[in-house]
Amino acid sequence: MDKNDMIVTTNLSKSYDDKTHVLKDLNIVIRKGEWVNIMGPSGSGKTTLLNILSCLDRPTNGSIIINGTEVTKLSQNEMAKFRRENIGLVFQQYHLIPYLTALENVMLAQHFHSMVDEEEAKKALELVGLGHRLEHIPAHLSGGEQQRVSIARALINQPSLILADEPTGNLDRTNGKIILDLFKKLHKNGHTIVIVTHDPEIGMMGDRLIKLMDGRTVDERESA
Amino acid sequence: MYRRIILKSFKIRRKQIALAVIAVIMGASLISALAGVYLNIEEKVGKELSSYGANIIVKPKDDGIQLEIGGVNYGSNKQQNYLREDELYKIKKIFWKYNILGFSPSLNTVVKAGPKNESIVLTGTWFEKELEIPDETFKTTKAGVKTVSSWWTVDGKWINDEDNKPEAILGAAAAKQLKNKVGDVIRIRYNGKSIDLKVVGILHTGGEEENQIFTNLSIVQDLMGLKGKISEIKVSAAITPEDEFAKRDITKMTKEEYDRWYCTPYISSIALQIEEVITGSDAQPIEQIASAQGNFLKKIKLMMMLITLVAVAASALGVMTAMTTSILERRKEIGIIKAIGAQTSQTLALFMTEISAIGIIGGVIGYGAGIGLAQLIGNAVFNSRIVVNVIVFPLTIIIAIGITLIGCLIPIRNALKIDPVIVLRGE
Ligand SMILES: Nc1ncnc2c1ncn2[C@@H]1O[C@H](COP(=O)(O)OP(=O)(O)O)[C@@H](O)[C@H]1O
Ligand SMILES: [Mg+2]
Repeated sequence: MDKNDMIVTTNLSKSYDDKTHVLKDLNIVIRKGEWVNIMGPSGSGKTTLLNILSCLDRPTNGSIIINGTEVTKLSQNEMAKFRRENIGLVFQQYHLIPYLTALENVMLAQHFHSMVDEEEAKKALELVGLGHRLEHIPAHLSGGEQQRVSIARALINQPSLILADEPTGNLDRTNGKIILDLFKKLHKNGHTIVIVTHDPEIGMMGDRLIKLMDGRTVDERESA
Repeated sequence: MYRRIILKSFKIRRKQIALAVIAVIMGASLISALAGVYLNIEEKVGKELSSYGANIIVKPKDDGIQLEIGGVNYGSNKQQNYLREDELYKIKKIFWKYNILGFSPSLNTVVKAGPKNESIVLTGTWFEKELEIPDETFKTTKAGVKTVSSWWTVDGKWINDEDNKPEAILGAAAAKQLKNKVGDVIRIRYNGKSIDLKVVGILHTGGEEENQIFTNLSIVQDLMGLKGKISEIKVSAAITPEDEFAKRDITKMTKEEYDRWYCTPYISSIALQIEEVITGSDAQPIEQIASAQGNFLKKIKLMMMLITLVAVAASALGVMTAMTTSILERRKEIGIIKAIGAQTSQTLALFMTEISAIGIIGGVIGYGAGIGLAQLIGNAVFNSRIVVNVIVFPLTIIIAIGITLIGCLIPIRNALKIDPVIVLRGE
């Protein structure tokens, strides 16, 4: 364990019952400030892995150390606390609260973290280029805009780690590109980024690509 | 922020919230109505029950052995004592004066009546006299047989207490025995004196009083030479059922216990208070009537509590149904909230605000509806207004929040169990 490591998994495995072993003995190291993409066929366990790294789910076996904390030993509430302090989550389906405006969706994350700061939330939305969409509810925003709100929400509490599960999966090329540019910006600012993706274009972007197949890493290489 | 989330989530789910609020309103209105009636019921049912007759009988204290046959005191081996007519008003000045629903003084003796000189009881009494009560806000009260024996009926007319005419009302049996009817004049002889009384009515009571002749108290007092004297007072009092505490020996009570006993409208404490104001009197509860009234009250109260319980349960069930649907619809939202870092206590806080809002809104509206309902019950059942005790409002609100809490218990437990991994897996 190096203090430059953001994530270290040791013999990480996950099974739902005796037959479905979704993740098998994964040993992954992701360093601070690194951008790692995870690719693999559908059903290979990418989402399961990301959920475990997000502290939303627990592995069946093995250990995960994130930013120096052994998260498998945390209680449910400690996991929630750890998550909001350290991790920003971006989902394929955006997962915004439908009856709250863009601004309120960002402020909600502030509320659970500590204190609501409207100016700060506005700045986060301006950063993702939505300064003019503060009072729109998700239904009145395009998919790309919704995803940008969810990125603003993921960033609002200054997490060191950003985890995204197919963030461009529901977007067209133009919008996908905007999101990608945002991730580039975040990477440049020093965030550690892990993205699960099907998009080969993204796959070429990061520092490293991990290929998953049937719950194992089959290929791991530095990006071009 | 917090308020905004709550308000918006309310708005978006107004159907479920409305259903939950309606369920609370139903429960709360029934509870406040029943509580309103319950806290009035001793007075209301007491009044109702008083129509079954006097429950306290006041007689002169007498150390001798009383000889009493057919409700008439034939005196004792000692000299007969009497009570004073001029003290009667004091019965309406005791601590529980508002619980005294009626009283009726009487003086009776055996006389010879009619052409055949038949022995018969002559009772002098008040019928419905307006009695002045000094230094009280109510100023006057009605007293007389009609206030304690409301079911008595007269063919013909009642005697007017004020005009002191030589009139008589004959018990139905006495009328048959003497072969008299309304309009006749009958001659009464007593101790060598005689008076003529005009029959103005025939009395039906269903009891031994039908064998007697009734007339103005003052006429009997004159006849017997006992001015201002009476031999008996019947009192009808609204009482609270005797409990274990009431049955304790008052001579062994502490000061506080005695005060509590004295200030509870037990029949025994009211009887004692009457003895305290009527010189030389002995006030005894008529146990049969008193305990029947007490039992009836107990049963009504038990029934009301059962109805309340059922209302609370039904209402909580309604809340549960609405909230279960609501939380089912919010599964994803709850998953998101958890995923972005809400701890159990924060998720719970979100619901608690919602619960208290539903409880308070339902409680307040339910209270309003309940007060109306209480008046309807008052009108329909007791023929009078229900005076709603101030305690009913906070009580209703507390119970309404309680109902909401109970109804939300299971739905919220389910909500807290929601696993974001499962609900957010949006394939
Ligand atoms: N809750 C679950 N119970 C049982 N099997 C599951 C559960 N969640 C996921 N799986 C299975 O785990 C495997 C990996 O799923 P997932 O991690 O979503 O793959 P990917 O994201 O790579 O498409 C799939 O075969 C899926 O059916
Ligand atoms: Mg997936």
